[in-house]
Amino acid sequence: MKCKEAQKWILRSLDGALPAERRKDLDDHAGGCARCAKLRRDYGTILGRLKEGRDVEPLPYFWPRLDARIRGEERQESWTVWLRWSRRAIPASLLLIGFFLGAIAFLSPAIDEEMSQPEALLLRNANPLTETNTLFEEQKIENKSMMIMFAGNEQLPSRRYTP
Amino acid sequence: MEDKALIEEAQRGGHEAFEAIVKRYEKKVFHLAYGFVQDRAAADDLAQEIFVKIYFSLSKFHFKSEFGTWLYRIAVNHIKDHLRKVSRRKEVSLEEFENVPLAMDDQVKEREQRQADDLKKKIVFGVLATLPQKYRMILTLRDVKGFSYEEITRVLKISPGTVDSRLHRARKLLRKKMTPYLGGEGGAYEV
Repeated sequence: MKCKEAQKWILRSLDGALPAERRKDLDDHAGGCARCAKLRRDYGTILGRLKEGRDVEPLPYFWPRLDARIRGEERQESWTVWLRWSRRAIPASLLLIGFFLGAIAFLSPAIDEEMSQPEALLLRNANPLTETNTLFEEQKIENKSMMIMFAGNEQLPSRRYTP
Repeated sequence: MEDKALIEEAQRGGHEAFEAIVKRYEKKVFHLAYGFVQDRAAADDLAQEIFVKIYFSLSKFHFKSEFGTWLYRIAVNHIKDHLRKVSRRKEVSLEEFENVPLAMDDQVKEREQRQADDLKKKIVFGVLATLPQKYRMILTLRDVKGFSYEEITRVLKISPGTVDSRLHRARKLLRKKMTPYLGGEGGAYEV
């Protein structure tokens, strides 16, 4: 067995997965090769030290300490859940309010804004003073009085103006 | 009571069942953490954090794998995160071990021998801590914790072939880095 092969089998032997025949070959080689024998010893030493890491005992009262920690985290968790939901609730409620306001504005009946007679006449590009001129030009006093009376109802233009 | 019954009870909110689970796995999780941090208090803290995580994610366990495998996977991932955070803060240096005289006389007292053993162990784990995380992880699972190849395959989610090759590379690298402490040719101290 050459050193390279021996080194491969040394690594394999660390897991105990070495056939008896191979082990004998390896023993024979290590018996005559100081370098491979040292390599084998080194791995044995290192792995032995690593295994000592299993001997340490955990700190006492593991469960009571863990229990207290879990209860603390549970309280924190429920508070966090509430906080998370409240953070979501603020924009959601704002959206809901906006929706209601929009619905009210959309569904409420539109107010008919009626134009005054002069406005309507101006819009049609007509002279709003025509009627006033007619009043001045009227000769009959009764007719004039009647026209003045109707002119007092200027606040209700839609009733007076009939296109 | 078997694991399955205990887990089902704990999933329904049974606090005592969860206590039984913790008591069953407490040492194993602690030793796993200790294998990485080499400090009792830090390992204890890590183990507690892992069990808190287990408690809050127990409802997500659907018995698709063994409970132990699932638990170890959570533990390994948690430890990996911890090591990532720690390595950002502090690089482990071997310089702190360089002035430790380890060659002991045959007549040393028992107490001194114990202290010397602790130091030797510290050196090995100190060197282990300097290895890349994937090598450190596999060496800890196999050589410190004594996991089987199958268990490692399941916990780390890697193929058996990868376990084998990675483990061999990790051992070689560890040995190479340990050379100054192994005595013999060029060795300064004997571990």
